[in-house]
Amino acid sequence: MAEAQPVDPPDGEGNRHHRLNRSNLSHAVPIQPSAPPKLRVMRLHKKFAGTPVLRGISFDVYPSEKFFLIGPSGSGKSTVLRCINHLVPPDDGQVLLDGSLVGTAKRGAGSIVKVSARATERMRARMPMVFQQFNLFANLDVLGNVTVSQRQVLKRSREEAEQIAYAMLERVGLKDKARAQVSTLSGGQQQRVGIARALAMQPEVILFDEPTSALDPETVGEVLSIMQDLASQGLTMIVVTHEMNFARRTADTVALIRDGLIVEQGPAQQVMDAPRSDYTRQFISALDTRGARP
Amino acid sequence: MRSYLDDLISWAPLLLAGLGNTLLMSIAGMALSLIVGFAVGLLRTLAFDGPMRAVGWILKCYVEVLRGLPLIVTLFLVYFGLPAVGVRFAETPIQAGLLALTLHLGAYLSETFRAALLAVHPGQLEAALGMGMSRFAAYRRIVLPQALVIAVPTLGSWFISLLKETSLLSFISVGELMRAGVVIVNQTFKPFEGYITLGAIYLVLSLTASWFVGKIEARLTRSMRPQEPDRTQSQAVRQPMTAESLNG
Repeated sequence: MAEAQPVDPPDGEGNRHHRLNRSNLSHAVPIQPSAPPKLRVMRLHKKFAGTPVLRGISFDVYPSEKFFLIGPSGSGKSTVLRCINHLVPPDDGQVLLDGSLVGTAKRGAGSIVKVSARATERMRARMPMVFQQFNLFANLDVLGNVTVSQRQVLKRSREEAEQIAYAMLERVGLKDKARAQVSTLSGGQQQRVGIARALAMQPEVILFDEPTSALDPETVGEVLSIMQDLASQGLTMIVVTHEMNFARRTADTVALIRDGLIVEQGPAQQVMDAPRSDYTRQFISALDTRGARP
Repeated sequence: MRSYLDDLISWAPLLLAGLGNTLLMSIAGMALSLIVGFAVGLLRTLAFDGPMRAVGWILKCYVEVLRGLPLIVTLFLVYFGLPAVGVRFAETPIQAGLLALTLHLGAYLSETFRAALLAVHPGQLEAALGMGMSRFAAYRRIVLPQALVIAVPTLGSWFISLLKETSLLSFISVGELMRAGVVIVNQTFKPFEGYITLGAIYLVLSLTASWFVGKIEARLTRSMRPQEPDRTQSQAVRQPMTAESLNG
């Protein structure tokens, strides 16, 4: 917990092996286990008002990998995502995107590697987030939602931003809604705009925070099928979800978080269908029987 | 009745001059108070931790003190009190009046702005930051436009209230409507006709302001309201704001 060197390899070195002999070849773009990790999450610790929420979370995400975080409510899954992009700065631990530090690193009370606010913002733009409650900008129409951060962050011209926005809206099947007010859209449509908004940043990783948890059951499918498309196109994704069947179908790696620690992590098939820990088996079977979705 | 119309015509120059000053003091006072209130409200919203905390605390003191004083006390302190101790900053009645109005209303408006900023859903700021926007850009493009829409009805109420509160400026000899009315009544000994006329002018002013605020509100909230689905679908090109949408 109190090592002095700034960069430690995270635990879970064994993860690499399963990628080499995967039988699941459903993805058009396979993950690249030989490449260095796209994202390294190292010993994240976070307390809220004295209560530990994360107690040392570490994992690596490789290019094109679909990394799924599952676990009970309050286990810290969403906090992991927010620590990754420093919307919530971790108390301890580091995140590296392509080997570069995300946000100012704290190591307990000790050495601090300072990163400017500008640099942190640029990092966030490379791994935008899709939110459980959509959080579409209420003062902008659909096109505005998909262009504003391109214009503000990437400094694209209006023409370029709109061109990209229309392309991304087409990808999520909402090109004809470009001029609609956000409040006129269904939940599923709003979340698809949320995905288009993230895609427009031409991200290296997208962070999905329970993207279907706030949706009506009948609109969950449209969002999941778009995420499935993105997965098959080789996008690197970190997904927090309660959709077990979706995880089974889409994930490369599944990690189960409980009380701020990763209980079990491994290839999706192994964790989902032959979990090592009793807790994982109970958790997955409880969710499976509760709501089986296509 | 005939004599009242004659009176009205003879009072008109004085009343019109008063009306001009009332409008001047109200509009200038509102504009300055908006600036002060916006700055104080925004700073207090942002300065809840870190080294800015002291600034936030000082601004809170300003708001609490100025809201705790009757406007007439603030007015007399600025006009009579400050020059008496050698502070010759705002000496003419109009200057002193504007300063006092601004200090007073700015404190109230800062609370209106602060409440509106806090009323914007926190997910809006989180999403903007999550997309990589700077805090400045997130506030400018996302949070402030929404806060403004929330604040406008309350700001409008304060303006209508200010139109009438400027009558207190007659105490420091600003030649506004109230003072014009008092002068007229003193000269003609017709308190009923004089004050009824005065009241009618204030009422018309307030109703006009209220109508005007409603227009601004409608214009600002239009983008936040659901539109006709068939219109939005065919709008591939950005539409300029048209008179049709204002009149309709």
